[in-house]
Order: sequence, then structure tokens, then C-alpha cells
Amino acid sequence: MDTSRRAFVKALSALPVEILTSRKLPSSSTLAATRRRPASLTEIRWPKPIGSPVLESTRPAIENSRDVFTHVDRIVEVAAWMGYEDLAMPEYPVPSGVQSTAPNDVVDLILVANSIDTAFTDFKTHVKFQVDYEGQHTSDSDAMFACLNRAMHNGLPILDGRFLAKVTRPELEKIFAGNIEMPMLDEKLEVLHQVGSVLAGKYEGRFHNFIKSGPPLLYDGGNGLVERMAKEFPRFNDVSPYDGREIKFYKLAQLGLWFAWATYRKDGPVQLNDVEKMTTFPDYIVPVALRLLGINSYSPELEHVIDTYQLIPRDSTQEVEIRAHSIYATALLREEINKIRPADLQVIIPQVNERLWTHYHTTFWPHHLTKTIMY
Amino acid sequence: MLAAAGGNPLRQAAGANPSDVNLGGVKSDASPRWPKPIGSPVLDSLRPVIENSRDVHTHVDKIVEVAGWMAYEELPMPEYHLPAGVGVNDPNEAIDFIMVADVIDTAFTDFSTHVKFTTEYAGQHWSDSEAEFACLKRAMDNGIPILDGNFLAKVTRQQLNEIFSGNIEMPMLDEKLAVLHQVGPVLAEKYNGRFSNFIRSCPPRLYDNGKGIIDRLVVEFPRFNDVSQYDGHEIKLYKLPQLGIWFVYASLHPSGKFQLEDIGAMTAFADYIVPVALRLLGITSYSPALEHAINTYQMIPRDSTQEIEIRAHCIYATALLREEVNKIRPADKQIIIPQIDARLWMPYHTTFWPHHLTKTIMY
Repeated sequence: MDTSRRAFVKALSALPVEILTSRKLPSSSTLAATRRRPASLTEIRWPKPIGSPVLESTRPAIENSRDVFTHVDRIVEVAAWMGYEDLAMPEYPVPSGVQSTAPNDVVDLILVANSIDTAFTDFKTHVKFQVDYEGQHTSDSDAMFACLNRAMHNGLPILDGRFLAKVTRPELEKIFAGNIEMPMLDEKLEVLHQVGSVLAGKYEGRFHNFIKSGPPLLYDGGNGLVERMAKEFPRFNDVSPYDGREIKFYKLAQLGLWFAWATYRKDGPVQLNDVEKMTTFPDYIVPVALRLLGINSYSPELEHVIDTYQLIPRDSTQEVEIRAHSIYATALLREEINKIRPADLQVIIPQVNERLWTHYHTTFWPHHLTKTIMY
Repeated sequence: MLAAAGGNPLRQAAGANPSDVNLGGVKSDASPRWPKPIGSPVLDSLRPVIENSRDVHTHVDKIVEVAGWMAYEELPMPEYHLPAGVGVNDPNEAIDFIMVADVIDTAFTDFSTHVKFTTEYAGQHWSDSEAEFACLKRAMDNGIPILDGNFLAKVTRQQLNEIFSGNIEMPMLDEKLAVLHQVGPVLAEKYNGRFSNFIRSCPPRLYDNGKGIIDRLVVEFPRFNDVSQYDGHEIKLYKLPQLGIWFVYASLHPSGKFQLEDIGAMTAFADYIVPVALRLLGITSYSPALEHAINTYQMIPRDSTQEIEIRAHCIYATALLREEVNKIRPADKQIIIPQIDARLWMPYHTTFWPHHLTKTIMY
């Protein structure tokens, strides 16, 4: 089965480029026509190790991809102009309207919110979750933060795992009262019950106690923060099988720690001495940016599925490939960008992630649709 | 140094240039594609430069390619922030502040030492034009009437040096002083000292057969008459008059306090940075001679053909890029050229890639 699919892909890559580019392609057909096909499978360029089990684990998906391709020559081309951009280390403000600005409380809020930072758009109606609170109209994850702030101002201890472990569906409905029922409310309820129980049982109910209970590292032979999040809180165990191998993504575990770290950096409750091991946060948007920039391309089948808003199942090879190529391509893009930049302006991958995400998160170009609690 | 008639993109001098894109034949210089008219005398004036360029070339196929990914970005209307408190209860104060800052919004980097002007204000560190803003606000806090043309007309070098106290003497301080002495008396004599009175005396248009805001700015305040001669033609660039009015519009229009009927006639603000963005994206390319001059930090004289070409292609290429971007975007997401300008300026204004160096009060 596997060999025949690979053979099919090889045959596909030998098709005349006009067939592959006959669909509406945002990058100009001039570019597509002059671009080389992906390097043959045996000569895939691999980024230098950054000490990330996530990046290392994606190799089987990159080497055997059926539907997603990364074009290294295009990465070099994009780096040649993106490398001269500011690409500043993001400085996240403390979420607005918080009840308490004590750093431990802010970190707890960030990590509680992060644990339910999944779809905010109804999969059927495509309506976004929106809330008006204290004169501000917010949508998406901003609306979620507004709801959490509102709950705290109403005296609900939503930072406390003992509360989250037992919160009821009607209570959660009320917390997330907005224009529509919060998308995936049942899944979010289940996540809070799971996360709340672990926090209550081991960390006096609070995420910052979890952070303090281990070394300030993402990875540390199983004791790092990402490793422990994935192990102790199953909802963060964002892995997928691919040809019998386990591919690690750890999107929300990495993103939550990144937000918590980048809000305070050196002076905050979350210290990360190996922050350079962060990969991109493989979501819906970064793949769109890579696809539009011509760094990734898709098989006609996958292109069609995305353009017609069909759901792509969680753990399907298509979903795994989209996400694995996000991690792989951004690692290479960062490498090429750093070749251009002077020593004092070197970047880490989340800065590239930020650059791609901010430019495209409101795009009208369709992104893939997958129903999951992992991103 | 005549030139590149036709096909050779001449891009090899740039080491980091995205050079492996097939440019697929640069159009003959005789028939460049021209953007649809937007009602801008600036854009309309550029044609002799674009058609006869020696050192700068625009690659229309590359514009189409860049639009193919840029069009899907958000490309928001930029939001500008005045220093805290300025114009909060008085839109006219916001206009006065923006326009006074705009008349002296020229080089903030010392041409010999390459040190940037910085200052401390309100517990924060500011540089470049933000430092200029901070100095002006600090002067207001200290009761200095810097928004009043009667004061500006007579401000002394010593006073100005104190207003702009920072890490170094404000670059081009004498030129800035001369500009204020020119602008101040006009404001004092005709507009009761205030730019807001000038603007409120104009129809709500940039251009109106000589009566529009830009039309009159360049006539009544010669420091805004940003034009150059090229092969006997007058080329209009109007960087600072357009930028000042754009800043006023972007600050006050969202709250309904300032209207312009022809905001779509705004072009890019031809400065040092937008040409860098276009050059890095491969939309423009330079002759080896110009490339070398820029990369070795040589001064490019004001009004030289090289300087005019850099700026003219900046305005021309962004007009075409906006056109291509709008072809892709839905009707409710159409953009105007200053949104492209902001998109190019923002990520590159701190770039370490060298920009051209020209000593001028025009940008």
C-alpha cells in the first residue's frame, strides 16, 4: 500500500507542470513554471538540529509526503527579502482587562486560556464566536479572553483547577455567553475537567506551581516543561501516527509556554533556558502563509479539498503532512534567514512563526479545516 | 552612464538578491504598462522618468508575483499614535502637531557618523521621527508654543537646539531652522499661526484644480514643493505634503473628524525605505553603478537622475502593485496605495540593508 502510494506520488511529480499548475495558484504561474520539482526523496535537506524532538520527529512525514511538498529553492528566495525585515522578538502585553496583574495570575490565565485555545468558528455555519464586554467588541481568542476576564470579575475562580475540574456545562455556557454557543463547548468542557483535575491533584490547582516544579527547560530528558505537559495532561499530547511512526507537534504546549515566557521574558515566572528549541506552532494559518509564498505546494487533490472547505480528518496523512511541513519549512526558513543576518540579529523559529501568522491570520484565502482540540 | 536598453535585468551586483527568479523579459522601455489614473498629478508626472530610466527598472511580472501572495494579507489601514494627550479633545491641535512635525520630518541620522538621533521622554527611549515627536511634546509640556507660527517664525537656533536635546545635535538642525522660519511667517500672516486654519480653509480634497490641500501646500509653503527636473520635465514627488495629510487623515478620519473626497489619489511617500523594500522583493532593480553607490554609502545628489529614478519608480511600482493586489481581493477589501506603502515601510524601516543617501529637506 505504502509503496504504491509513493509510486503514485512519483508519477504525479513527473506530470507536466501545466497540469499541476492549472488550478488557481496565487503565486504566479511564471514562478510555478520555473520552480524545480521537489528534490528527490533521497536528497532532502534537513535543518541543523536545534534540540527539538518535534522537529526531529517530522522526518518520516517529510520524506514520504504524498500531498504536501516543500520547495527549498523558494525558501532561499523568500529568505533573501524576509531576512532584511525587522522580525523583532514579539512583546506580548498582559492580556487587557485582567482582574489581577500579578505575574503568577497572568501566567495562570494564559495557560488556562491556552488549554482551550481551539476552534472559535462554528464548523457548519462558519460564524465566529464574538463577545461584547466593557465596551469592547472582540472575536476569536480575544473573545475567549474577554469571557474569562468577565468570569473573574464576577468572582468565578477560573484560574483554580479545583473549580475547573468540576465546572458544569451550564456554568461554562454562561461563562462563554456570546453571539453563538462557544464552538466545541463539549470538548472544551472535557479539557477543563481533565486539566483542572491534574492541577488540583498535584499543583494546588495552579499552573504556575506546575511550572515551578521542574527545571526551566522545554526538554530535559523527559522532565522538561513541554515533555511534562504532554505526559501529565493528555490534552497536550499533540502527536499523530504516520506510516507507523509517531510525529510530534506539541502545538499548544509550545504556544502556551511561548506566550507565558514572551510576556515577561527574563523577569517572569516562566523561564526557558532553551527557548531556541521552540518550533513553529502548526495551526491553520502558518500553512496558508507557506502555501501562498510558494514555499509549500499541495497535490491537486488536497488543494481541491481545502478550496471546497471539506473537513480533513484529524490524524489523516494530509493533516499530518500539512502540519509537519509547517514545522520543517519554517525551520529551514529560519536557517536561511540567519545566514543573511548579522550575529546580533539572529532569530529563532517563533519569530518567523510570528511574522507569517500576523500577516495572514485574517486572510480570506481558505485554510484547511480539521476538527480537533489540538489547535 | 547610459543604460540598459531592454532585457538585462542587471541584478547580479546584489549578493542577497532573490536572483533565481526568471524575470521573463523586461518590457521594452518604450511601452511600460501604466497604472489606471487615480487623479494624482504626482503619478501622472512620472512618465518621462519611467520611460527613460537609466539606472532603475521596474519588473511588472515580479509585481504580479508579489501581489499573488501579498493580496491575501490583511493590509490594514495603518493606525498612527500621537504622543499621549496630544489632540485628545481638539482635532485642530492634532492637525497642528502633525503638520509642524511633518515640515521638519527630514533626516534623523547624522550623515557623517551614521548615529541616530534619540531622546528620553516620559521615562521612555525614542529614536528617529518618534524622537522628534517626543521632543515636540516635551516642548509643549514646558509651555513652549511650538504649534504657533508666530513662535516658529522667530525661534532661535539655540532654542531649537534645546527643544531637540538628545544624544547628538539634531541632524540638519540649520535646515530645520530655516524651514520653520519659512513656514512660521506664512502661518502667522495668513492663518492666525495655525496649520489647522490653513487646512480648514481648503476644500476637502487633495487636488482641486489648484485649490486642493496638496495643490496649495506646495504653492504657499515652498518647502513642500518636492519636485525635480528630469530631461526637461518637472517630476512631482510631494512626499511630505502627502505624508502629512495622510497622517492627519489616518488619525482623524476613523472618528469622523476629517474628510477627504479623493483619498484614493494618494501615492506612496517616496522616501529612503520603500525603495529598499521594492528592491529586496525584486520589484525594482538597479544598474551595477547605482547598486555600488548605495552599497558603499556614497551620497546620491539631490535632483540627480539616479535620485529621481529611485523615487519615481517607488511611486510607479507601488501604484501597479496596488492595482494587482486589488484584482485579487474582494470588493469590500479593496485598498489604496498608502496601505501598500505602510505594508512595505513597516517591516523594513529598521532594516540593515543599505538605503540610498541623499541630503535633502524633502524626505
